[in-house]
Amino acid sequence: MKRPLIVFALISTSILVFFILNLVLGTISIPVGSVWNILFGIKEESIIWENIIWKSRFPQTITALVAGAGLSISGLQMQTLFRNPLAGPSELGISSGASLGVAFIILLSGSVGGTALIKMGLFGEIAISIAAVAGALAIMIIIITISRFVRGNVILLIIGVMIGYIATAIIGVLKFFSNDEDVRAYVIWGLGSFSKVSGNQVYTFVGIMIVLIPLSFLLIKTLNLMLLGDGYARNLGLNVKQARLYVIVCSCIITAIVTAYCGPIVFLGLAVPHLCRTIFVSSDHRILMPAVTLTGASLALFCNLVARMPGFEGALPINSVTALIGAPIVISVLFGKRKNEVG
Amino acid sequence: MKSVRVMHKKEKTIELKELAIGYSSQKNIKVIAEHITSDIYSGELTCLLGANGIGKSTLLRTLTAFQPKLSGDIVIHGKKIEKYPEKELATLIGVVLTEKFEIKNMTSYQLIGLGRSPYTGFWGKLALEDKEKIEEAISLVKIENLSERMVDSLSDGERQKVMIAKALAQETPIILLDEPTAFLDFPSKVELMQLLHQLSRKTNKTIFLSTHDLDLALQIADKIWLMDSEHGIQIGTPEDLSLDGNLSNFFARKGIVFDQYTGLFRVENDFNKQIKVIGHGQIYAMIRKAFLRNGILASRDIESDFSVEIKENRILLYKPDQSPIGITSIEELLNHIMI
Repeated sequence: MKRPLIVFALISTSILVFFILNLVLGTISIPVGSVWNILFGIKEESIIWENIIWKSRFPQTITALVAGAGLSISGLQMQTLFRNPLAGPSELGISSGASLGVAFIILLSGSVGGTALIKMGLFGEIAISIAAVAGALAIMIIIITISRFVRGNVILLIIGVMIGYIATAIIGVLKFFSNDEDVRAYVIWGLGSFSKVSGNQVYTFVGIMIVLIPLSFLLIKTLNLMLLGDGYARNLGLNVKQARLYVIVCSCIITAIVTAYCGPIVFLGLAVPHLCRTIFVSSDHRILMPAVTLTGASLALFCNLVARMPGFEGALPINSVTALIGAPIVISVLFGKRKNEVG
Repeated sequence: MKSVRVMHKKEKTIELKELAIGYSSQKNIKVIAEHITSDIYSGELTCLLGANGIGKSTLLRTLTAFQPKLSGDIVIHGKKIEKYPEKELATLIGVVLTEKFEIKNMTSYQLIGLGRSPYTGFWGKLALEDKEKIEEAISLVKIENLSERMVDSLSDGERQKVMIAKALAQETPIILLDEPTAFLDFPSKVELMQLLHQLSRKTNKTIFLSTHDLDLALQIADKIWLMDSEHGIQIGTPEDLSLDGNLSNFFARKGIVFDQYTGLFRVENDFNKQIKVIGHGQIYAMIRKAFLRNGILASRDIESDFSVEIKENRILLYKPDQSPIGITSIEELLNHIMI
């Protein structure tokens, strides 16, 4: 029982360190002491620094923190639900579904209403979130229906990827019929970034996630039973249909909200649960849920930091960083397992 | 059995009344078996036998309330099965299924612990009492050595034992097992069946399982349920079913002979040749067995070109117009005969 506690402490510390580094490092480095002063309003610092912290780095940092945690939770839930180690929000096309929903809203609003919805403030935000959730759920329902008929991890994954392509194709068609301003807004959104969320949007986003993340913890016992498969789970008193619905809705909403605010972020949701299973040597969701929440937050902060490493003008696309870090993790985990199976 | 320490009172735990099972959809109803009326008792091991596709799994699924019955009643402890809420059923019937799962990074102990789910709280944390029950289940199945092993490293037989321990930890008076001996090697099959038999005695639980292992079931089960499409379900002790001819009717098909004397089945071989064999005892039986496998009937009462005699534990082969040949092994004998 001691080992998990030590690891939890280490991960929490890493979050703290990365959090501070995210505020300190950048094209302009701000000393830790000044960051401290600005955050807690202790002493007046240069107005430029204050602006950088409050308008850019702080929102970006907490967005990364919360989004990383959310995507990882969603990935864990999907992997348990499908009992498939390759399931994840972006891998199964759920993010594509959310993107499709968002594309409908962003791209068609201009053509229909004459004004770009992206500029419509809170109403636009809500509309985009709802569209993302609807799109994600729609794809999830399709995937679940298909998963009843096909057996095998890889096939499901391929279908997910194909659905992703179809979604992208439809988005392409939508773009064709949209005005330039909307297309530009959508393309920027579609790159995925923790930094587009600014101003009050951040607090709406963080607020929603602070409600959703604890809610997903309520499904811990359910997820543990789901590991055993439908028959055993049912025999142990789980209402399987209902439980599955809860998990799907929970994981879709989290993915969709994150996607609505940050754009599609790949690999975090897939890689973090694997990382945690390996680190904690456990399948128990009582350990895994807090583990993926913290590890997801930490890894997202780290990725954001890498994307904004001093020396790069501007920032690298966050998805390149998450893929560069996430893909090797997944590969090494899969290879590691293979080795264990043989040995 | 001498090993029985406490003799519990046998009680009716499951009563089936005019039960019909099968599948129904809006369009049609497919009846798999009907008019099943019988009781299942506690403290007994009941084995359900029947050919593939006859509906053994359907019956088990219906008994576990995984699928609805078509008509009739399943009464458990005096109450109809559909009247039990899901949560209560979880404390009444424990199952061991054929469905396989792949769980990495979970120890047998943790898996057995999930059997306590109906009793644990919202987060599924194991209380002291739960841990005691898990230990008890582990010691009943004698898998202390497996408890810290990861479940994905277990052999099929070990895995079944862990699943049985899970069902025991679930503390249900009834345990249903769907083909628990499938995929096991022979010694593991015997071990598992004996374990289940002992458990039915030690714990006074109702243990009901489906199996294809005729021989084992006939030797170990207290009650046999024979399921076929013509007669429905025939129920009785293996001995009664063998005396009244039900067993031989049941598997009356080419290639299987029910031996009334041993009460067991054996493979029937057609023969196209007869050879005179004189003698008694084990060697005689073995020669007869080997011949039969090669399409030859050994008999004391016929005349043939070749003949075999067993004298003082030696085999002598008589060929026409030759002096007797001493044979040292049955393989050698077959080589002479089968030319």
